[in-house]
Order: sequence, then structure tokens, then C-alpha cells
Amino acid sequence: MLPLSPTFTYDPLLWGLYWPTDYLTGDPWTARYGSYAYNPVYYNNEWENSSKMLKVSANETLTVKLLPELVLKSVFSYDNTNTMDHLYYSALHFNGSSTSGAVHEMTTNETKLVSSTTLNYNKVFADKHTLGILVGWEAEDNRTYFHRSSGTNLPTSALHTVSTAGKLDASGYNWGSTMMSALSRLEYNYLNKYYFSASMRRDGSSRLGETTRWGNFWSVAGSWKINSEKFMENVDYISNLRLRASYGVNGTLPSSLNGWRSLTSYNNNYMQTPGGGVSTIADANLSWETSYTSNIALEFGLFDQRLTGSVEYYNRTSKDLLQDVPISLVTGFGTTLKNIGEIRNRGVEIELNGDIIRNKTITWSAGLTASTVKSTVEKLYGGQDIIWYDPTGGDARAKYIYREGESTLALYGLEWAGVEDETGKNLWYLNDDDATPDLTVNGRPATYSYSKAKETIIGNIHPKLFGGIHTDVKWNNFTAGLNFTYKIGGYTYDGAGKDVTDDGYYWERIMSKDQYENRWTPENKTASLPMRAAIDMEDVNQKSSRHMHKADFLRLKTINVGYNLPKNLISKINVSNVRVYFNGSNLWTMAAYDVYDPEVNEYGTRGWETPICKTYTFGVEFTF
Amino acid sequence: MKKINILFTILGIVLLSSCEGFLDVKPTSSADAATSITTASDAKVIISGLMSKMVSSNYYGRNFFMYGDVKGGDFAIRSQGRGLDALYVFNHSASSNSYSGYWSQMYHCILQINNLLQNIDKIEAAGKGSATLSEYKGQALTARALIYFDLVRLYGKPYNMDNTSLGVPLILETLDASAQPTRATVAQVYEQIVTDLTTAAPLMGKTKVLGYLNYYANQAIQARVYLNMGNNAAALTAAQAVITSGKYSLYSNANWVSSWSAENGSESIFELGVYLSEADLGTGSLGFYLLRAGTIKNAMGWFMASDEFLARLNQDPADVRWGIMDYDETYTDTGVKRYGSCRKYSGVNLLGDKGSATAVNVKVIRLSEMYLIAAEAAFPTNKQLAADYLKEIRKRSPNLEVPTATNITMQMIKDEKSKELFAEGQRYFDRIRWNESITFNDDFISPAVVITHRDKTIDRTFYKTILPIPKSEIDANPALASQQNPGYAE
Repeated sequence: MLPLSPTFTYDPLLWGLYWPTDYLTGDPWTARYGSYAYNPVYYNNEWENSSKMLKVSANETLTVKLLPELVLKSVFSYDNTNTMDHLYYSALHFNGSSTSGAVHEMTTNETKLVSSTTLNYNKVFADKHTLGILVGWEAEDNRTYFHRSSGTNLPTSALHTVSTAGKLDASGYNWGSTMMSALSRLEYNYLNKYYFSASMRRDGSSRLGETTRWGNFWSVAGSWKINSEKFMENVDYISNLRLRASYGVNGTLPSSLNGWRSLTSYNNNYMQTPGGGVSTIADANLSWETSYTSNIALEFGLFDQRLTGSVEYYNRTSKDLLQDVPISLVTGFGTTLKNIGEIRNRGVEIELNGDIIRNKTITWSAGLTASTVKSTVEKLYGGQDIIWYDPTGGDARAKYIYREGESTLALYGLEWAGVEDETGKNLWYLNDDDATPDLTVNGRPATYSYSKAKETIIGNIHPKLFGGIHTDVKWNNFTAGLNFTYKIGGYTYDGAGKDVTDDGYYWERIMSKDQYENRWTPENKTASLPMRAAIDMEDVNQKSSRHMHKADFLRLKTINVGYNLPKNLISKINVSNVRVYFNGSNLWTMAAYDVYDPEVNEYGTRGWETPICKTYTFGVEFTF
Repeated sequence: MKKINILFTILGIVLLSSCEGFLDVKPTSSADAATSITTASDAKVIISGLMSKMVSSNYYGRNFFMYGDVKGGDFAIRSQGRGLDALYVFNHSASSNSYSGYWSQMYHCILQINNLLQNIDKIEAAGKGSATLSEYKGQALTARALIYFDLVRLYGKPYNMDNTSLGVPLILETLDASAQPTRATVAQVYEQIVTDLTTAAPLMGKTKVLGYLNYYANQAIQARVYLNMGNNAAALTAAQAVITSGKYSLYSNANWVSSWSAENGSESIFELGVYLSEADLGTGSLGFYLLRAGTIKNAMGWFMASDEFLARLNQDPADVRWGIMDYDETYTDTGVKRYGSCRKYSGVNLLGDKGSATAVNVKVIRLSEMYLIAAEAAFPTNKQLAADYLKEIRKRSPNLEVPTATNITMQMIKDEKSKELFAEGQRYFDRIRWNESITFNDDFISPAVVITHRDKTIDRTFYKTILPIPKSEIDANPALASQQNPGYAE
């Protein structure tokens, strides 16, 4: 790191700018301006971690041919992953300073056992009817054993070993889940022209209580290869045409292992005696989330498969949707896992691929995918709206509402009306017919005070259209490819904005460049962000459309260029192929809102997590 | 085909009948709540857990004491933005700085109590009750009373101001996750507090046990509660029950200061344990909040005594209680030692009560307070008695005149309580109860900032005297939307 010298002078009457580290002295941290900024470079030398993983996997299959067409197959698989983690903080590191150093050794052992036995019947009758029947059962056992031993008060910085520590501490427990299934499947086709299949299964899981843990799921599907029909024989330019449709019911389990079971946990030791308490209040009747999916698709290939593609429509209704939802804190807890209602997702997916040039020396192909999704809340048990938060990061960074008829990702909050040009003050749309407006903005009643405004649905995260575009060129020994992804419509929500674009107060805090450039000043009265003043950050802390931004973007997701060295050049050195290449990812992005990375999580939010990186890879690849 | 069907059917039956065991995977670090309390020793573990939860940072571990202290005029801040200063400047609203931690942690504790009480009832109904079990029942009921007393003072108007106004939801049994309870009135909450305390008292042991509630802690809480309800006779009786029990004794002037460097002092009626790697809040501990910035690495010195308090304590420069005060950070600017930092929670020698400056027990109720309650309760009717009680505490300022039936004033009692219980979470609640106006030492903030959330002087007609029901609660429990505290309502 370069030693930077401060080139500015600060007015001692004002708080200075945020000073992240003391580069000059290399001091570990400085309480300057009341902040706890520290020097990560210094601390990097004061801790270490390592992780060793060992995977063992065994797969035993027993096949018994009872009849030529009847086969009994029993598979027993065992997977074991053993991870050993080592974590050390020296006595100089802030995580180890209060305990004269700390070292932790952790072992996590994950075991997965699957036993599956199936009876398979496959036969072709009269060269026309192909029939396949499968019945079977399956049992699965997942268990993870965790053990940690820790030592603090270390005798020397040279030994990073638990056994040398002055004070020892340990923990160990295990958790897991099991599942049993009975399954069956029938597949039939006639002359590879008409296909039909059906399946039925019954699953039971330890993640649900006794009365609800078993679920029955089934599906039917059929397809018709239209171009195999007689009447298509003369249509040369169609090389593939298939219509397929399916309908099925499947189940989703809660991700939580004990979501149905109210628990007492024992992590409240008190005065060196064990202490415990109720740690969850659960719904004992928690059940499978069940999805009813239907889809219909047309696949086609034209001109000897030079142009291929498909169009698909799907509709999925999920009943008994499983979600952690906020509950009255008076119950003793803030959230609980519930089957909350019914949602519906439907949309169209289109895929198109074509070779624009195809000859011996050059192939140039291009393709496009496009999807639409409309995702709505159909029914809420009890009918009452549910206000919930993005679970990412645990900082409740965005607020949503489930309301019947509305989007499943409907952002909820105050509607920000921008900044008043004359004063630099925040303006809010009232959205409340009973309140008296302070002024009107764009012809709508508005107020200076957020607390007078009412929350409303401010936007929908789901985009109108999203997908990708790709193109590849192969010319002699050169290859090149471009992959774009895009999103049109919808919004993202900025969960970090409240920290870096606050309107004052935390003077010593970092200010984003965006805010620096766009804040209101007497010289910049048409600014998009309000004036910074020594006020408390109430306005910026509101969940509001101020932090909501358009999600549209086009990104060059990957680019690759390669060259295979001519064979005559490399055959002398006993190598079958040498390829020189460059790969890049996320090198170019165009976004409607480009202050932060527009590629966001499934909830459409951006927080303090590390954004996606631009990467450049240059390489040489040898094939022997 | 038929055979296959039969086979499948058989397999299905086998699966269904024999697999419930395989599918019952119990967690190993938690127990099924429905069956986790079946004996007195199970109940003991829950009581310990409850005490641990009560000493969390959101409650007695820090924030509840800070609430009672920093809003009461005896404290001031030097700089904004260090932590909890929003309490001091009354920057709280339902959706920004809602301080929902009080609400959630206290109701979380109440859930533990209600669950324990239900299970004790079950055990007793099965004929397996015992004296030990009754003792835990008494402790649980007393804890519930204390928590409701604290909750109703945070969220409801003072009892002597308007006890028909809204208090808090009164929950006496475990709730279903979908419950959406509404608020009871202040009077109803107090009525329940008294019921719980009087039901509990006869069940409780009289032995002093560090870290837990006993009969005298119950009486001490009764004294506090009755004083708030304006029932002086009952407050006096309860305080006297503790004073005359012989189980507790006042610190002498010689050992008053050192009492802050030891756990389980002779005055401790209810002291919550804070031990290393348990509820120890480290750099965020109560001790660190009151230390001078930099006394210990990372100590930022959030709060200091106000000029008003220092002047009060200085009525007698030889007051023994100066011994727990340390000079504050203004020394760097002024070169004058201003003794505004307090070491009640870090120990006189910064070694706490058992070697750590941060893992320090919280003395929730001390005997001195009982004397002061007795003095206040006796004052309107029996000046001599009031003077007798006050005298025992006021002698900690050896140069001040000894109170007598003729010279005693209410102001003397109030001043004594401020000096004695400084930083013990009482001052604000007392002054609100006394209907005093509170003037803040805002000119102490340097550089000066404009405080926009309250005036320099407030009294209990100011709507922010009590906290808002958090927005998160109203979102999840819309039944409370129409019950928001006035002024905070949208």
C-alpha cells in the first residue's frame, strides 16, 4: 500500500472527512473523529484461517435381472464430507485482544446415506409400443456432526494450537433430516411419435410433524413429434417439430429442520449454570408447500436444424406457501414459519438459436432467450396483508407486502416525491386522504414530513422481460463468443443507500460519490438528493421509493476469444492441442441506474455484500 | 403387472408402518418445548435462562438503565453519534429509532415466564408439585410483575397522570403465533402486577441467593410499584419488610465505594449476574458507556454526569459517593478535571466485581432505595419516620445537616435519591412520576449541535415522554394501529 499524505487541510471546527485508516503511521486503528476505522492491512497479518476438506463417496449398485424385461436395481450410496477449519486471532487482533489471542479448531462431518430400490420393467411390443414402468422406494438420511474446540489466553504467538491455551472451551452437536419415498413412473411411446408418461410418489420427511409429513405428488406429461407424421413428410424445411405438455403436483419442504416443532434451547448460561428457554413457537401443523404446474411448449427446428427454438407457457400455483413471516412481538418472537397462502407464477419462455453462417471455415451462430413472469399473491390465509422483509443479510433492508392480487415481490414503503428545489428538503407523497397536505407535487398532495405520509406499494421487483443474447464465431483456429444478459422492467432496492447517502448527521461517515455529486446545494438547486444538514437521519432510514431504482440493464456477462495453435506446429512436442485464450466476465454493463451493480439477489436488493467482480483471464491450455 | 401392484402396496404399507421412527429426527442442542419442563430442576434451568435474558443488552444489561438515566437530567452527552444518544435527545419514532428491543426482549421474557408457569401448573395438576417448584413459580410471577412494571412505564403514561390510558398488552399465557393482542389500560396492568406480586410472595424463600429473586426482592418490587401507584402506606410496609428483615444491611461510609468492586454486597436485594462469556457485553457494556473515553481501549465514554448532577453531589464535597466518579474527557479541552464519569459498572479499579471491567453484575435493587422509598412514603404523614430513614442514606454526605422531623423536605429525599442511585436507571421514572420538568445540559455538547427532537426543558406532557409502539409491531399486529401512543401516530 502506498503511503498517502493528506493533501487537504480540514477545518477543526467541523468534523473532518472519514479517514478509513491511518496510512501514515500504520496504526491498527484510530478513534479519530469518533470512528472506529482500522487498518485492514495491519490486521491481515494478525489472523489466519484454513480449511481442509476430505470427501469419501461410495456407490454400490446391485442389479438383478429377474426377467429380460424386468430388472431389480438397488443402489446404496454413501457420501461423507469432513471439513476441518482452523481459525486464529493473535493477541494484537481486535478479535483476540480481549482474550490474549484465540484459536478455534472446528470439524464438520456431513454424512449422506441414500438407499434406493427400484423395479424396472421395459419392453417394446410389436416394434411400436415402448413401455417402461418403474416402482421403487427410497430412504435418505442426512446428518451433520459439528465439533469445536477453542482456546484463549495463548502463551505465545508462535503456537497457534488449542492445547497450549490457558483457557479451553468446546462445543459439539449434530443435526440432520431424513426422508422416505415410494415412487412409481410409467413411460410409453408409440413409434417415437406419441409420448406419454405419468408418475406418482409419496414422500415423508422429518422436516414436518407426524400428521403432515407425508405428501402425495404426481404428474402426467405427453408429447407429440409432429414432424414424424405422414402429412409432414413433404415439408422439408421443418427438421423438428414437437408439441409437449405436462401437468404435475410437487412438494417443497421447509428449509428449516425443525420448523414445525417448538423448541427449548439451552444457550443462556447464567452464572455458570445452564440456562434455557423457548426459542421458537412453531405451527405443529406446518405442511408441504404444494405446487401445481402446467406447461405447454412447442419445439421446432428449421432448415436442417440451422434455426432451432422453443416457445413455452407455464403456470404454477403454489398452495400452502412456506415462509418466515413477521408476527406480533408480544408472542415473544418476531417471526415464525407458516403456510401463508397461495401464489401463482406464470410466464412465457422463448428460446431461439440460429447459425447465420455455416460452412467449412466459418461458423457464426447467435441465440436469444426471453422470459416473462407474472407472479402474484392469489390468496392469504386469513385475508390479512403480510408485511415482510428481505431476509438477506439479516438487516431488514427492504420491506415487502403480500396482498391478494399484488405481486409476490411488491415493495412497500413511503412514496418519496423528490427534493424541493428552493429548500433542498425531502418531499413525500401523502397517500392519505385524511391528512392535510403541506403542498402539492406533480399535482398530488405531498408533505415535508415523512411521518405524515402513508405507506403504499411503491414498486414491483419482478421484471417484465429478462434473458440472454449470445453469439459465437468460429473461424479456422479462432473462436470468439459474447454472452449478454438483460433485464427490462422492475425495480431494485438499495439497502445500503441509507448508510452512504444519509442527509447528514453522521459526518464522519463515508459519503458516496453519487451523493456528493447529486446532493442539493444552493448552487445545485435541481439536485436529485436532499441537502446535507446536521439533522438526524430519520428521512433516509424510511423504507421508501427514494431507495428504489429501475432494474433495467444489459450486461456483457462473458466474452471469450481463443486460438488453437496449428497442428503442424505442435505435433512436434507431443501435444494434441494448445489453445491460447482470453476470458472476461462482467466487463461491460449498461444500466438504467448505474450507481450499484444491477445484478441483484432474488429479492431484488443491494446491500453491503461484495458486488459481482469483473474478471479477466488469460490462459494457455494444453491437451496431451 | 398385478404382482408389481401387490409388491408396491406391500412396500407402501411397510414404509408407512415402520418409518415414523426413522422420520423422527430430534435436534441435539435443543429440546422439544412441549416436554422440556417436567421437573423442578427443569424449571430451575428455565429460571436461569430467564435471568440471563433479563440481563441482555436490551434490558437490564444496559438499555433499560440507560433509558432511566439519560433522560432524567442527571446525564449529558459530549458528542452525538456514539450510541444511545438518541434516547438522550428523544430522537425516537415508530419507524426510526423505535427502540423495539425493549418491547421484543421484555415480551420474550414474558413468554418464558408464561410457558414456565403453564408447565408448573401441569406438573402440579399431575400431583407432582413440590415446595421447590412453588418457589420457582413465585420467582416467575415476581419476574413477570417486574417486567410489566418496566414495560408499562416505558410505553404507558405514569399511573398518577392517567391510569385509564393505554398501557401494554397483558399476556398471561403462551400465545399462538397468529395472536394479535391489543393494549390493556395502565390501571389494568398495575392491577395484574399487584396480583402477581401478592400471589408470588408467600411462595418464595427468604434466603438471599445471588442472581435470583427471593421474597425480599418481591417486597422491594412491591414497594416500588405501590409508590408509583400513590399507595404510600403499602409502599412503606413493603419497604419496611425488607429493611427490618435483617438479611440486608446498608454499606457504611467506609465501604460504600468498595461495594462497587464486589458482587453480592450486603445491600443487594436483586442483583443480576453478568459473567465472562455469558451476558458480558464487552466494549458495549454498561461500564464502557459510563467510563471516560479511552480509560480502557475502546471505551468511548458515551454518557457523563450533567452539570446539574455534579452541583447536587457537590452540596458536600466530602460526599463518599464522589469516590465512584472519575474525571471525564473534557479534561483534554479544558485542563480542568470534571468528575462526570462513573465507575459503578466497571469497578473502582477497573476490575469490576470479579476481575473484568465489563462482566459486572447489575444491581437492580439495593437496600438504599428501600430506605429512600420508605422516607418518601412516610413523608406526607410521618415526618419523623421519613427523617429517620433519610438520615441513614444522607449521612453519606457527612457535612450536610442531619434530617429531622422539622427540617426534612421532599426535595431532600429527591436529591438524595439522585445522588445515591445515580446511573441505576431510576431518575427519569422518578421525575416523571413527580411531574417535574427536566432540563437537559445540552450546552455540554461540543461542538454545539441543534437538538430538534425535544426542547431543552421537557415535562411529562411531552408526547415523547413514553416510547412509540414499534412500527414492526404494528405491521405484524394491525390491531395496534389505532392504539399507537398519541403524537407518534401517523
